[in-house]
Amino acid sequence: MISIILHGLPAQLERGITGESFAAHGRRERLEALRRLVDAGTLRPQVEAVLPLDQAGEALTQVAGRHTRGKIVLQIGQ
Amino acid sequence: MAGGGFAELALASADRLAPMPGRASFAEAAGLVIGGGTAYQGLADRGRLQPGETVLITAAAGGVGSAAVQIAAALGARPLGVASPGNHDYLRGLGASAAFDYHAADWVRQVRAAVPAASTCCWTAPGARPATRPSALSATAAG
Repeated sequence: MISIILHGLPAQLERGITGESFAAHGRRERLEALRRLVDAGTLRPQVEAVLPLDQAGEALTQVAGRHTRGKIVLQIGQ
Repeated sequence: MAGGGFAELALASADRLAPMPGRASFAEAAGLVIGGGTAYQGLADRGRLQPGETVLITAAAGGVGSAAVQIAAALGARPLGVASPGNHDYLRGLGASAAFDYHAADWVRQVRAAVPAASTCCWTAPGARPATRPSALSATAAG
């Protein structure tokens, strides 16, 4: 089991299942791998909405509802 | 970048930067770094997902999950998505082999029935309800 949720993983995994929780960390090699996937057309970034920064509260409410498809992007300035 | 990301000019370590994809807008690229980067790190680097393996992805329609489904498919694996029924067609469009509804009391049994060997890897994205995580574990095979 792979998770980025640091808390809440079952303390004891069952049946020999191995688990790992990690913190996401941006590295150039990974960003370049993502770029290749996007430019190949196999990874399409999912952005449900682009909202101005002053609607950040609304964006958080939408995300908290757990029904957002992909990301909501906040735009700063123009 | 430790801070100051909103500034017009910022100092960043070169090993944390890469050119934007030519095919992505600024908004798409902004969403890609967190959602795609997290999914890639978990599936490819930590999970070492192999072609032909099955991976169960919770919160599969969310920011990390939607990237995880596509990246798993791009790696030649078989992604199974867990999400609300209204997102099931959406997940199949992203490349999910099958979609499951976490509202169903027996969704774990449904996963096991669809995949006789159960899944070899399980990815829990941050958007999943806490109660979904132990269930996802019980749908996962050892290894």
